[in-house]
Amino acid sequence: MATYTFAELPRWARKVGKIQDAIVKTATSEMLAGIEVVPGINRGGGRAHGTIPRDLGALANSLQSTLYGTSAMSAGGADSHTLIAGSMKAGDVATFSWGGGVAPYAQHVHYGANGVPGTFWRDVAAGKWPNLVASATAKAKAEIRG
Amino acid sequence: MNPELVQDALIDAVKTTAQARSLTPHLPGYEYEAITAPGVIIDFTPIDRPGEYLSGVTKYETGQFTVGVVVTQGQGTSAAYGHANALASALNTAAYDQGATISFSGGTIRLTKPVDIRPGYIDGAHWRVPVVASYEAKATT
Repeated sequence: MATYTFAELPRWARKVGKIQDAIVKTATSEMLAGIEVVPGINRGGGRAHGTIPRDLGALANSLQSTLYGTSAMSAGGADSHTLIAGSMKAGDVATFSWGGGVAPYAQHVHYGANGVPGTFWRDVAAGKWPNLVASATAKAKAEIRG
Repeated sequence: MNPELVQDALIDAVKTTAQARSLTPHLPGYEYEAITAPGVIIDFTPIDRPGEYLSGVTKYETGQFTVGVVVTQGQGTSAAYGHANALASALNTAAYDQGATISFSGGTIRLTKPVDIRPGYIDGAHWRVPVVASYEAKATT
């Protein structure tokens, strides 16, 4: 383990900041990449919890990813989270949302409708957040020691 | 720790309120069944349930308990939000407020945050409001 002196505090602070950034990027990226897109009911699939069912692809592709709600750091599409998660620093506020005009039925698929249960993919992903942060922190610690 | 007991205990926490408001229950496994309004649609979403420890007992699980309040569409939304508020209040009182927990055989349940009432939406012939409770169940034995 590195030993720092008071004179080296700025260097230590920069290092810790980079570690925090890495944890945020890793946990955010793994949370969104971990949401599985599976065949929808019309393709012979079902409604598994934590997944986005895909029939024509509109719902999965309706993902809007934004950093601080700015158009400068905004992207659309199923993989749009990669740009935003990769640009995040610790303390940043990012928004990831599905639905809108492209897939106005997002709420129905998420919570269920017309007698078909929901898949709750957003809630499952959010529920995994504490474990994802713990995992990203452990990874960062291992890399520092290595 | 038996997950069925966790689910039963959470359902029990809203049972009295649902019955007092004459809400027809639709328990998990309702797929393609006709929905009766006013009613509640119960969903359990497991989040994390670690494998059994060396002792052969699962020590904890996290998940989401969702109560979908349904009322007949076209009669306003206030009735649905009234039911949703009452159910949320019952859950908060049972497992969140002032450190309250629900006990069941072999464990306890607490909500990890106050119950969330989400925006409602049209569900066929009904107006539906999701009431969402995130919980953590821990084994006491």
